Amino acid sequence: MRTADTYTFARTAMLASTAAVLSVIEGMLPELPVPGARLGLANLPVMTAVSTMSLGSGLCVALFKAFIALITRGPVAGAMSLSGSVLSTLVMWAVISFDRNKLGFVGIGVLGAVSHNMGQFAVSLFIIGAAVDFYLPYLIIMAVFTGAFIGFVNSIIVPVLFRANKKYLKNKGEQR
Amino acid sequence: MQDRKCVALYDVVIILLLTIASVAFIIVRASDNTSDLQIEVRKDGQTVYTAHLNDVDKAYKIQVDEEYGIELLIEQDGVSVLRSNCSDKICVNTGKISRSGQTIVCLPARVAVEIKPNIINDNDVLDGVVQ
Repeated sequence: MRTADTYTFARTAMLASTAAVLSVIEGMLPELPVPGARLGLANLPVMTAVSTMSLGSGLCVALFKAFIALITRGPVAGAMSLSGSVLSTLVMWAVISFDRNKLGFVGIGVLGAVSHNMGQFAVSLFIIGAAVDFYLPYLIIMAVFTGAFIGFVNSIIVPVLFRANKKYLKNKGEQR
Repeated sequence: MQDRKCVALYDVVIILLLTIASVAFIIVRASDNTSDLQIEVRKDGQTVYTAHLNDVDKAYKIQVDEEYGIELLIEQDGVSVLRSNCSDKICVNTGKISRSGQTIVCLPARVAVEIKPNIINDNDVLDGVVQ
């Protein structure tokens, strides 16, 4: 992998800190009706990173998010966050890279959120054996809603970032 | 990435498929109205406690995990986690479960409480025949 330029590096770091803040804010929101379910707002910066930069940036944000979960909510939450967000990052990256723009932002958000659930489901299966499947359909329905919301927000953010990127490159060219 | 739409046709297809599949699952499970239920408590995947809900005359409490002090309240119409020393308290917040297939899970303690339909196992049937 080539080394990231300062711009990408700074933007990845910024998105990672956004993920940390969103994950803390999410923790302050009231409990959802499905036990253990969270809104998944912190998945937004991960999606932004994957769609404006690279898989590497997305994974950095995902790892940082899992680290924040680990130190604020304990090892189990950390493992859940890690498995969920890494799988979701990979899925979103694969879709963005190979779907030839067949899917919209909302679809990518939904797939990202559902794969986040699947990653967590796999870890809970691993930790506890069977018997965690009861809430899965409820979790998927929730993931469809939150994923669509995140995809929608991302469809607003991404063009702004691309415009900023273009402006930056232009300024950089003028300086030379 | 720039010429990607906000919502594309395939997005709608994905959303509909996921929603329909989930709702179908929920409906199928809700139509299962078995009344002869048993609870099964597992720690690390090993069954540590079972009870038939129909045999419960009076509600009682049991402790199933010493590490996290998980205390269950078993009633005739369901089971709930009363207390746990784990950090997230998801198990306590789940409340009382009463239907077949429902589970309470405490991931930090690696404990699962599940309600299952009471299946008579082969040994019982054989005993019955001998008698």
